[in-house]
Amino acid sequence: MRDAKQFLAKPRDTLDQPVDEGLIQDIYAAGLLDAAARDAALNSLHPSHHWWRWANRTLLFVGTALVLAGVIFFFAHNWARMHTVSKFCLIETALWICAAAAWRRGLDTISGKVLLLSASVLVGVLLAIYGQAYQTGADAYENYVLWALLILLWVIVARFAALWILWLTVTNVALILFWVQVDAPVDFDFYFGIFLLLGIWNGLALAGREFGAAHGLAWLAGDWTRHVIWFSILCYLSIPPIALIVDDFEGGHGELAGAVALAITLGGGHIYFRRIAGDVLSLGLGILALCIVLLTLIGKVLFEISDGAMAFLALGLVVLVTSSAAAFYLRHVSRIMSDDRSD
Amino acid sequence: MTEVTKQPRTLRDVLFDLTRGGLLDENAVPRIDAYLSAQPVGTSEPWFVKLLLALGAWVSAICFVVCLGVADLVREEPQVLFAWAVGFLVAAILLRNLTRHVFPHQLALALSAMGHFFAFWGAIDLSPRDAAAAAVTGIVLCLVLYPLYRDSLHRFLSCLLAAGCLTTWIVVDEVWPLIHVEMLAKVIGIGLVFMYRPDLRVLRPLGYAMAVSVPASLFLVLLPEDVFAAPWWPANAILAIALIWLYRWISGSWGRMRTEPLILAVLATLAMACFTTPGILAAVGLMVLGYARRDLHLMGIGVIFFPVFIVVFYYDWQISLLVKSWIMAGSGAVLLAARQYLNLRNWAQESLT
Repeated sequence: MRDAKQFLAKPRDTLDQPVDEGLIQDIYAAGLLDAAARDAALNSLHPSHHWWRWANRTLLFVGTALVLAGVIFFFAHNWARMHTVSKFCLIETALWICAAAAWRRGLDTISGKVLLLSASVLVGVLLAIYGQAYQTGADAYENYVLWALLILLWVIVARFAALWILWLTVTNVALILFWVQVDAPVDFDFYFGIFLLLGIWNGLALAGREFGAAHGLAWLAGDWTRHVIWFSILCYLSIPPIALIVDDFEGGHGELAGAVALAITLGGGHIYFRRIAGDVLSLGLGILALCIVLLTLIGKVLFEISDGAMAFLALGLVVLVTSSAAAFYLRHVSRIMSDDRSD
Repeated sequence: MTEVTKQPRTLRDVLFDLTRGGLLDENAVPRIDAYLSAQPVGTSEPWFVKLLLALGAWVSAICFVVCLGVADLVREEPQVLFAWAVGFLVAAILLRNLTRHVFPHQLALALSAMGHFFAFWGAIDLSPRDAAAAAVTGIVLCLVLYPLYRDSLHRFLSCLLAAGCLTTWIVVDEVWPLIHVEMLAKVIGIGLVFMYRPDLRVLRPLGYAMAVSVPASLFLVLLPEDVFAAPWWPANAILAIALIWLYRWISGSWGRMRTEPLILAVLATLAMACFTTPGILAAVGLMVLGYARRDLHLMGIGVIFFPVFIVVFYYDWQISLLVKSWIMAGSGAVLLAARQYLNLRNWAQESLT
């Protein structure tokens, strides 16, 4: 009875934890299992099947990424000995093969989705070759807009997060190039407004992602999509307030609007990721953005008062206090969320 | 009809089977229980909190060093610089080991960064060979502080700094063949930490630092051929042998390597080693080791490094874009062909259904 009580009183279950190859290898490395026992234990876990599931996907993703990179490198080389028609034929053949193979495999299979992703990348390569062959002086943003439009239908039917993120990236580049190449609104002092627009565009994408994931779209539910989009929103929206601070608060409407948007985004994001989504990494990214903007502001104020040793000392201390407070808060939130999950 | 959900197998189930099969002594079970109970519970500090702490300490250390410089408190003499370094490092060790709160720990990290800075400055001031002096200083500081400064983040950063200094010395003094010796040492270090002594958790930060610095040092492919005068094939050979050793470790013995998927994995690795760039082998190795150890950090390093390396490889000065395109597409074709072949086998189709 006493033994049972002792066992129950243990702070962590040890023998009742789910077992994997790593744990068996740990015990073997500690000299508590001999080789025969380890092999038998590993066999009993059916590692080959488990491994094959993982290797099957990894080989597909890594192999496809390498082949696509090879294709992009090849056409970036702009081989002079290869006739333009041959280039078009080659890339269009590859594109059709990928699209047809995706259709044949079916978009419910992972290989079908990856083939459609490959076809979507090849559309971009095709447009780049078009740009190389017919240098009409058109702006590069048009290629990106066209690319986004041409693959939009595939993005919708594929139900594949990687393809959706590719499409979002293409639209982001198109927006930036449009702003840079076609001129920002004149006499409106809104040059930094591009970051606000990008923030809103990606914010809509994030809202769509959250809504979709909450309503049963399993293909959108991977956390990585949320983190990538949220990170990009914070990057875009942090630039205007930093520019506003550095410009002695004399920036244009773009910086001001961006600063307001960042404040709203951080507040809303904090409530959402803390109360609803329960995502500590997203909270951490938000707090990091807040720290950066806050420290820029404090640094600016400190160096306006004095540019001597005291200003550096004070800034160093403020940075320490800020990062410690942020880390303390995140640890605290992380523990609470972890406890909530285990309950 | 009630549906019975399959519970994951526990360690108790596996040990029970082993005991019943006569492969495990009954007394071994309490020993394993005691061993696992004695293992320190991993601090579940999220990686981004560690990153935040490291960034904060680094920025504040820069501010404090500039403060000392502006206040004219630092004379550029090796003895004075070393005295500052020792003072800051001792203060950092004491503060870290005697306190339990975030702020003093942060301050200790910043003080240690300052100590490192003054130690490097003193060593460079003392020696005519800057890079060699920095490498020696980095390694000595790492060796001394690793046992004294009991903090996984500091240990990781200290090892990474030492490895970075060593690579910088190899580049600046152009002792190129040593890059492969360094690579070999790091690969052995990763193997020891994650495959053979995973019980020594104190060595994990060293292992992670090596896991980051192996792919990072492969960014040297960016150097032009007239600057980087050594061939890359030894790195390929080291990484391919390490990968094959990893397969052996995963399978359990050389005898169990005689299975179709593992033979194919070895052949694909050897084929890739013949023509690919070492960065791809390093990324694949980290992903496989990470999966075998169920270590998300190792897998993350491999997954992040892979696309970054492809982008960096684009700017490789040593070979033309045309050759690079064949290397990339060829490597990918080998992997896809291996997958395609294995997918045709019955056991693979069964396991995927």
